[in-house]
Amino acid sequence: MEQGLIYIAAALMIGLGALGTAIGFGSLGGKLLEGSARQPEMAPMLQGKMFLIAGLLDAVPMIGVGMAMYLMFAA
Amino acid sequence: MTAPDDQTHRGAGAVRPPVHRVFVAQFALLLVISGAVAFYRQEVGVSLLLGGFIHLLPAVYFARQVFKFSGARAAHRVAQSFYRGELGKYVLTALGFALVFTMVENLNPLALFTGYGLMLVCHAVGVAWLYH
Repeated sequence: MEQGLIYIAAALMIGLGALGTAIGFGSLGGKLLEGSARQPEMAPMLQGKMFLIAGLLDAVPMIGVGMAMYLMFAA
Repeated sequence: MTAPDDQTHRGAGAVRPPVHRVFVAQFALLLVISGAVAFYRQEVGVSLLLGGFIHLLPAVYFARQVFKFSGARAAHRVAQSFYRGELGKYVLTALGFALVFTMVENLNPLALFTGYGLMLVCHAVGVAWLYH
C-alpha cells in the first residue's frame, strides 16, 4: 500500500513537472517563431536568450524528477 | 554547399555562441569543489560529483541540439530542436538519477542534490553572463 502511494507520488511529480515544462516551452517556442518572423535579424540573439530561459524553466521540474527517482529507488 | 534540409544548416551571419566555455567552467568548478570535499569525506565528494554530472551531461546534449540550427529561415527547425533537446534532457536526467540511486552504494542524497543544484545555478549565471 505504502509503496503504491510512493509510485503515485513519483508519477505525479514527474508528470506535473513535464506538463509545466511543456507549457513553458510551448509558449517560449511560439514567441521565438513570432519574434523571428517579425525581426529576422534578431533570430540568433533570440535563440540565445531562449537557451538561457530554457535553462531556468526546466530547473525546478528536473529537481522534481530527481526527487521522484529518490522516492522510487532509494527511499 | 549545404542544402536547406542539411542537419547543420545555419543562417547567414549566424555565429555559434561559445556556450562550451560555460560547460568547461562548470566542469572545472565541480572537480575542484568535489575534490576538496572528498579530501575530508569521500562519499560526500563522490555524491557531489555525481550530482554535477547528472546536470552537466544532459545540459551538453541540450545545448548541442539547440544550436544545431540558427537563423530566421530555420526558426521552425530551431523550435523543433529545442523540443527534441528538452525531451532528451528530461529522459537523460531521469535515467541519470535512477542509475545513481540504484547502482551507487554509500550515496549521500543531500550532497547529490546539492551538486545538482550548484551546477544549475552555475549554468544559469554562466549563460546569463555570456549573453549580458
